[in-house]
Amino acid sequence: MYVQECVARQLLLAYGFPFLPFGVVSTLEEVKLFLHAFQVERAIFFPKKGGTIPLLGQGKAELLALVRDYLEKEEAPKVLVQEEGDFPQVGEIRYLLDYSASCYRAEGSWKGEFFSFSLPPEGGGLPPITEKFPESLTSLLEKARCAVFDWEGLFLGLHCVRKKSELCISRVEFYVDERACSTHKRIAELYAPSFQTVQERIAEQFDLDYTSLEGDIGCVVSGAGLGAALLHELKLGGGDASALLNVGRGISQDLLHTAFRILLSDPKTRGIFVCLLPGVFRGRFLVEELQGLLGESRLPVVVRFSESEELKGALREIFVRKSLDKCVQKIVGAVRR
Amino acid sequence: MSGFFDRHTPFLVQDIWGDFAHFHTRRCQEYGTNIVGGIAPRARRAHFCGIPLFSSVKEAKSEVKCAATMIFTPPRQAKQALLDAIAAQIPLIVCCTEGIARRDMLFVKEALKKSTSCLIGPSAAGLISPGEALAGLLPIDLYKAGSLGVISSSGSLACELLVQLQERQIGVSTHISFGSDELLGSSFADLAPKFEQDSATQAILFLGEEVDAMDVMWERYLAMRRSKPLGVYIAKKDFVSYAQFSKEDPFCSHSRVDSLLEKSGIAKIESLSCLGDLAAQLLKENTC
Repeated sequence: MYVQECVARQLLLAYGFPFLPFGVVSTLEEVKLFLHAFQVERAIFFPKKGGTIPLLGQGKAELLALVRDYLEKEEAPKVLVQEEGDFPQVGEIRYLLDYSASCYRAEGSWKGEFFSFSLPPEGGGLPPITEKFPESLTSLLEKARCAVFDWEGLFLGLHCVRKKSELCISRVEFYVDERACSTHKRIAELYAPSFQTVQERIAEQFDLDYTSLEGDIGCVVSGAGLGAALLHELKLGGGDASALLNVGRGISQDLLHTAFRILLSDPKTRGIFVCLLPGVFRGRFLVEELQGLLGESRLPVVVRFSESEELKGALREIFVRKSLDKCVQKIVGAVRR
Repeated sequence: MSGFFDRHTPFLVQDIWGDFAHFHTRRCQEYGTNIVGGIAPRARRAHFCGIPLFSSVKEAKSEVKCAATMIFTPPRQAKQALLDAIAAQIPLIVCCTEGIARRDMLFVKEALKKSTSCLIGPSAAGLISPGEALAGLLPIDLYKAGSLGVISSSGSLACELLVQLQERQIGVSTHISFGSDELLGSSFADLAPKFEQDSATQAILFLGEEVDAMDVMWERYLAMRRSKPLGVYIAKKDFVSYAQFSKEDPFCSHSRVDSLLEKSGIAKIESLSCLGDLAAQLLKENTC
């Protein structure tokens, strides 16, 4: 789980990381307030390329252009806008869980020298202090280890610069293991869900496995592996999924009803593809729910279910086939039309 | 089969007391699996559905002969259950628990390095030798005994294959679904040699999803001595999850995997719809 930068800074302050002062702004008005309130003399902005500001939909690059225009005006405070590269670069540190080697790994560059070594899960294992591996780096790595250990982190990335003669961290990237959230409730509380769509947030409340995507076909699958394969299959067939809803091995009728409602509430969804397999999913509620769905929505629905003969009779208006490629062709064709 | 297990292999079930474990233990037992004991530390009775209960794996091992264990323990307690099974030197451990914290798995993998146990999972759907025995959650109705060995990361992906195999009347010698977590006890490269040794398996099919460092796994497998035709399907992930944070191009290893497979003459298909045809082609190759 990605922890928003402002939240990550709050969490990591306790470990004594030397962060540069930081604020999140999403409108020009907020920028003005921030500059006045904190009497900022110089500022760095980090607009991600092509990104949009969550919930507002405004381009980050556009906002930066607005800020630059504003700062050129007479009434604006005298602020030196700098790029991150204007500060002398010291290095980058990544402390991460390396899946391929099944261990923690510290890697990055420090004053032009690259380093990479594995570390035991219980701590220790840092190389002795040398000229190439100075105390400042060791101290940051030790702090990173403590933070990763305490918060069950998967990745901690630190970007280090020099401000005057002091070592500072200009950017931080932090991911934690969402599977450990039950033991670290503070992360869940601090995590602002602006990276989740409304549908994902609702689905989370019902403990449904829902992922919003960029396409226009809402997919219901019975298993994560099948879900990944189905997205690949849709791509091959020229389609794109708007959401992937994994109903897993079993689901109650009420929950299936909610799941379909969530899927339909996404304005991107222009068609629904249900791909459920026997053994994994018992489809006794499916007929009822799909009939309800047909009554409410005019979207094309394609069902891939191996007990298709039984379903065909019950759902005359829905395309039901055993063959996966025929189903993919049908739903992609229906949506594109 | 099997290099892994058969109807005589004595199994333990850890955390047998839970509803989920109970349901699946009954299914396995009805299918023919030899379940000799259950671990339920807080149970106040000696038997559960005719299976003797023990308070720990160590105690069970001293009381009954056991060669394998199935773990259905909830994720927060799963690390301890796995470490207990490894400490008791159970040769085959099948862990069906989903959602074990990644750091917990680091400790488990450390323990595995010093042991001879083979861990399948976590989040494994299990393994089955059709007509012989079942350990896990796999859908028994879809299997027919035959000569195709199947290794898959995900259970649901394998169901897709089974539906297509049913249509073509193709049977399976053994199927292992080893899970799709990032930190697994065994990967395809660890499991494939058992299929190579198995006389009932004529061809092997691997179904998986893209994971980090997949090229390393394939290099390891291709360096082994191989005698049976192998077919591969790898689902590409179209969206980036948190797990790929540290890589600029998360699937940079994919094209390398493609070229490795191509160089070795391994049949690889792009579409899920062709799984059945690939299986038929592999079995035919072996017969020729």
